Amino acid sequence: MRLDHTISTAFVGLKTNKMRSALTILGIVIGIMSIILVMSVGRGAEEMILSQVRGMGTRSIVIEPGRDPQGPSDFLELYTDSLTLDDVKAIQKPTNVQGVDQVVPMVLQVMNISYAEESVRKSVFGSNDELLDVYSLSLRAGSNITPEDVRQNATVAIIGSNIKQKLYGAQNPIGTKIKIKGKVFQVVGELAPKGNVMMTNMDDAVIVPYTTAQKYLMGINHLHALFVNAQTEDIVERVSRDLTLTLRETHGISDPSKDDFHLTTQADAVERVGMITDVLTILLVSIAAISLLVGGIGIMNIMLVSVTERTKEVGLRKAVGATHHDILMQFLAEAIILTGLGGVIGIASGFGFAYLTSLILTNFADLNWVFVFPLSATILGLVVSSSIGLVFGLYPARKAAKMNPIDALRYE
Amino acid sequence: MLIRLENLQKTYFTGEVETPVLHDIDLCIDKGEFVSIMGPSGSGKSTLLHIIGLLDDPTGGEYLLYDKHIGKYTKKQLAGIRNENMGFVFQSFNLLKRTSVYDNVKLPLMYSHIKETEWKTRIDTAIESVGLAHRAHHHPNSLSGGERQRVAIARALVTGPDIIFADEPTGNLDSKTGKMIMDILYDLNTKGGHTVILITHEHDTARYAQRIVQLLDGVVKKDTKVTKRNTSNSKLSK
Repeated sequence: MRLDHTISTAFVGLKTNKMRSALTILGIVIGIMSIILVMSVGRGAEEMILSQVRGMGTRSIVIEPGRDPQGPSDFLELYTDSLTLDDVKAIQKPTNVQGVDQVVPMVLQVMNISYAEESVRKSVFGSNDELLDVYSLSLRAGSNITPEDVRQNATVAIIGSNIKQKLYGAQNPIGTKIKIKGKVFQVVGELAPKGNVMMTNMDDAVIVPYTTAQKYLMGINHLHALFVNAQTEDIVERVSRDLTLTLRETHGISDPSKDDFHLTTQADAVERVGMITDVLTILLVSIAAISLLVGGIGIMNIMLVSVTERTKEVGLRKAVGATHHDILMQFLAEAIILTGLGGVIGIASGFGFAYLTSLILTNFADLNWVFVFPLSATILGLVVSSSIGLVFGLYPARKAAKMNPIDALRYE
Repeated sequence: MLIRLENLQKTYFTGEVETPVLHDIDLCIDKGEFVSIMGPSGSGKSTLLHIIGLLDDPTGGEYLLYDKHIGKYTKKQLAGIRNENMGFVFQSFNLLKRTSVYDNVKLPLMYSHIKETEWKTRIDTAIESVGLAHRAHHHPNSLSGGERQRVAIARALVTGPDIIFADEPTGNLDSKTGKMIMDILYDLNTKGGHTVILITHEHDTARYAQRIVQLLDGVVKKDTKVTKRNTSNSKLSK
């Protein structure tokens, strides 16, 4: 029989049992849907994180205390006090590191911020005048903190747009006094809305001179991070190497495995994010794949029932000239059409849910989320679902094809 | 010679038990003959028909079809012979439910080498020859028993086979309808030139044939010429 007739015959067979066909493919629909959903949402998450990582700029190198985290215990070292202003001074010496554009020291802690009766608990950044530049932030009103403010431990603050909204509403905040951890600061600037930079929502942040933050607010002498900008993108690698050597020298470290600091460039961060999301996606897809296996077994079960029910039909077809191959192809086509259809519905509903997820995340969770339509997942879904039909349909189809015509005709 | 059986045997094996059904059958059927096979239940007449119709395999002896030993044909060739050289009419009609008369008749063509451009003419001709043109797009479950059997005959005819096998075609029908079916088979033999091999246990039905082969306990007991052959008085015949 020609392939087009095989396919139309298979369709007739499936239409005869519409309800059963629909229920049978449900397993495949759900399996493919979960895989598509996980892959699309996984890629969406990756895109979102990557867009933030890219926000740090291709010239940037972040230095944090503690060695490069290899496991959970290493994350505690992120809070060691190994980075200090001495490091900043050493880095700024061109004889140590050449091609450094900016060095921005940072301390960060969540604190109570209040104005009049209103109070919020948000991140307080201690930094210098260059933070706005390296984070690509702009002011909506007022002015930046100055090097003079840093030198004099001035109690001045720049507030994020959300904080302004919550504490002041429509009122102008410039020149007013707010309390951070009970200490009075004068508001000198208000940030224009920006959203997330380096995983932190800057609209919900307050920026003060790092010297003030260290002494008045945190009572520490060390820094939480150093943000270094190389002059050009090409020299990032060399600057990183020089930074490492300089910091080892100032910290008196000779064995690289004992480093008490680590550097992250944008390239490193992109790689790391990709790796983490890949691992998560593979894990979740594997779980979804189990439902496909279950769905496949369901297909095989129903196909076996169908073959038994239609034994007489098989006998008749053989009597009028159907070959082993014709019967095999007919039942195989039924199984593949069934699972292929399940795959198409699964892909469509998977992307439907992924799109819905992206809408919810952008509108309600305020995330900068993009809906991703990975073509690879679509192709994978189609190939996998049809293959399931092929694999799980083969046994029932062979069973039908092998029937002796007269035994099949006599079957009651 | 169209069909030649020599010492043909068939034994069924069910586990340890051997059940011999046919012993040493010798039978020749020429092209264009109308042969009735008669015999009581269990005499092996159906088994014989199934073997001649290539639906079942003999366990011993020789079966030459078109002067060639059937063992020399491949399974695919046998399916091809069933398709293009043989047509089957069963007692229980064996039509596909939820499939129109037209599509039921089309079934053998889908497995044939006949060009698709010829299909429609062949199907229409076959349906017309059994007088069911007005029912072509009905489903079998809306047809009477006689009409269903006529669909089955049209299906058997559509590829233009040499031999038509009819396994108790009137067994499920009343005598008037049964007569109508037999008239059609008679015309297919006398006017259409088809070889017809019929199984029946009614003497009156058997006498539409030129020859009656009587089986008893798996052997040919009698092989006689019909002297006063029943003839068709069908209004359908042309």
